[in-house]
Amino acid sequence: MADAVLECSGLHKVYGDLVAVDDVGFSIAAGETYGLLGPNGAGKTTTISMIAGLLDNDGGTAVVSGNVITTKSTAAKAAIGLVPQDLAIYPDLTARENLQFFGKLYGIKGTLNERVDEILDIIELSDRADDLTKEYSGGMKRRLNIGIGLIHKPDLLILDEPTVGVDPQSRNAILENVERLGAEGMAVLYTTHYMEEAERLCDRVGIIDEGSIIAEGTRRDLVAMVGERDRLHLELSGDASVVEGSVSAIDGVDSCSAAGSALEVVAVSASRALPEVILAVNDAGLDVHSVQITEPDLESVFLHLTGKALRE
Amino acid sequence: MKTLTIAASSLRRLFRERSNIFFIFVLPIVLILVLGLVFGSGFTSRVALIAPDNDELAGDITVSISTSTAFETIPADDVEDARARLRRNEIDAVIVIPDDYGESLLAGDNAEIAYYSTPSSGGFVVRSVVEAAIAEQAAVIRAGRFAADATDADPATALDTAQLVQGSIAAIGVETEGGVSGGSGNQFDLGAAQQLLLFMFLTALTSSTALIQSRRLGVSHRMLSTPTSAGAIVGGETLGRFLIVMLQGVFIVVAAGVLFDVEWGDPVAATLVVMTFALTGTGAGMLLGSLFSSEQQAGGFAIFGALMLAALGGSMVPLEIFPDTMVTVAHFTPHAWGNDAFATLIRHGGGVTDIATELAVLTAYGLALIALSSVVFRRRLTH
Ligand SMILES: Nc1ncnc2c1ncn2[C@@H]1O[C@H](COP(=O)(O)OP(=O)(O)OP(=O)(O)O)[C@@H](O)[C@H]1O
Ligand SMILES: [Mg+2]
Repeated sequence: MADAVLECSGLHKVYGDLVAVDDVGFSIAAGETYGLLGPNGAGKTTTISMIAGLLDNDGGTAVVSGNVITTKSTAAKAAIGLVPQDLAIYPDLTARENLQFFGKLYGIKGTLNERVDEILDIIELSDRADDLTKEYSGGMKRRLNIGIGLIHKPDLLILDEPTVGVDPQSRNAILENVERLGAEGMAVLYTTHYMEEAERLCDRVGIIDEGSIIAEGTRRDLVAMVGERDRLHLELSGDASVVEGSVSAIDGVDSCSAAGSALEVVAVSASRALPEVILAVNDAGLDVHSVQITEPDLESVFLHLTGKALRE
Repeated sequence: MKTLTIAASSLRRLFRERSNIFFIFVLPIVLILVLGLVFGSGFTSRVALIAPDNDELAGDITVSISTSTAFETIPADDVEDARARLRRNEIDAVIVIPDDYGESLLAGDNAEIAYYSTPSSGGFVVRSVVEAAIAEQAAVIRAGRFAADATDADPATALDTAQLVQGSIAAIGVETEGGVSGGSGNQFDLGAAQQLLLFMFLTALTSSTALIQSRRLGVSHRMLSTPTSAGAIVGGETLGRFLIVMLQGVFIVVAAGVLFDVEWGDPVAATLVVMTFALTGTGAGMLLGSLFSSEQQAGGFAIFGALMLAALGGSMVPLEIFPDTMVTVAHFTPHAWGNDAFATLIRHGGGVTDIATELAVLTAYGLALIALSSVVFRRRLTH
């Protein structure tokens, strides 16, 4: 990809006998949000640490904005904004002081104060900017943690499970911010083990387990890759078995089974199959009381690929 | 530049915690005061007292000086021999009561008691005891003279009378007669140096906890994710600690000088001792902060280690009273070298060249520890 902000390949990290990251590679274009989805211990943080130049790797390369990143590639790190999984802020400094401190380390000179104010505004901490961060709520600390990673307007923003332990309101604010940053053209690498977050935010998702990326693509790609189908659950006004045959014959419907007044339909696309299913039911003189559609999600993809649930 | 940013944040964070101001600045000064008042230099001075044998007034003042509990009096005969022992630091002062002491006083002349000391701690105490003894006797003698003048009696007889009525006459304004000459010791001097070293090292070691906190919080790591080299991070943390310890050292030196008249000797040499010792402390603190992973463990170890090293290195009990083997052991601690250096500066009025060895050892210690800690810290950061 010519306009890739991040391009990494063959990343490898070993801790003793444990291969924490094994041949991981992917790329992210400007304006694209890429999700690394995987359970605890999958190797997300380790992968990110190598991409951000925090950890010496045991193989592979990461190139960000045209520069190879190692722990020693000081200048090139200016293109990356890292938001670590664990809060990395000074509790005995204020939000403003934390932002100023890291702003200076990112090499921001004349405009630092304005930039700090801007960030405080974005993370909605302007009114608490001069309180020590140890007095903040968990959500406020998380927001500051993210703000620090944005202070220098990086090409690539890396967020490592930024919503863990956050109340729903802060969580939503964080997700909205990430969506906006992506829309503004920032490349975002987002790790999570929340399937919903990956589905909502990410243009493409890499599913990582035990150190390897086992599948990658858009949500649709991934779902299609494992052949999962949409599920329709209908409650009818009478015996569902009378429509079993006619519904099964509908184009795009894989299978149909009746149980009392309930009808289970498996289709390639629920939205395309549903009108015809309802017509068939009405033709048989029955009414549809309710419909429930379950689209296959990344959760079921993960289950399919690994035989285990994303979250234990 | 980034090194300075990181160093400055260390200082800012340290002083944000108000209790640190107490531990770093107030407590050492309070301890120097209390220990100086209670113990002088922390041990009993030994004073050689030379007095004529059959002189009643000399005998009186000898008794009042030697009954003082502030120091130990050693009878001596030969002035030159006693002064030689003083120069070898075997004793802390020499008091010489002249052969014609009683005679001169009774004749209405002033007699001068010679007082020799190196500018050692405890000198102040010795001197004030001698002065008090002279003042006491002077009151009696003045009263005697007054009585003799008034009654035309023989001064010796009048003196007996005066001694009897001393209580009532002592209220007459008394001037100290009999000069006191010699060095200008101060009971706080060496004690202050010992406390200075103890506290600088304590601060250096305990400040390792802030380093561990930065690492544990992931802030150190986050610094590495910015365009800041590992070297600049290690350098900044090291510089921050060095500045904290220097700030404390300079404060103690100045405050003890202003408040207690502590003489630190040659200012350039004293500054160099403080700097090289701060360097050593910084290195030790950085190493501790790099090796330990828990602040509690490091904090406990820091206090224990700082007190152990201080005790071993002569910052609690002076090295002079250590047995020879212990003196050798003591010199594995930086404190012993620091205390030696200050003893040379304070007691013997030495300069930079006289403490070149001590400065070299402290610098070597400091640089070696800083180099070692940098390697460990860097490894911890990127692996
Ligand atoms: N410093 C280390 N030393 C030894 N093993 C480590 C180290 N860091 C990580 N690991 C191991 O590497 C594997 C991957 O860890 P990593 O932190 O990358 O997982 P993760 O996907 O980020 O998990 P989580 O969702 O819990 O954050 C784990 O088995 C972990 O125990
Ligand atoms: Mg992680």
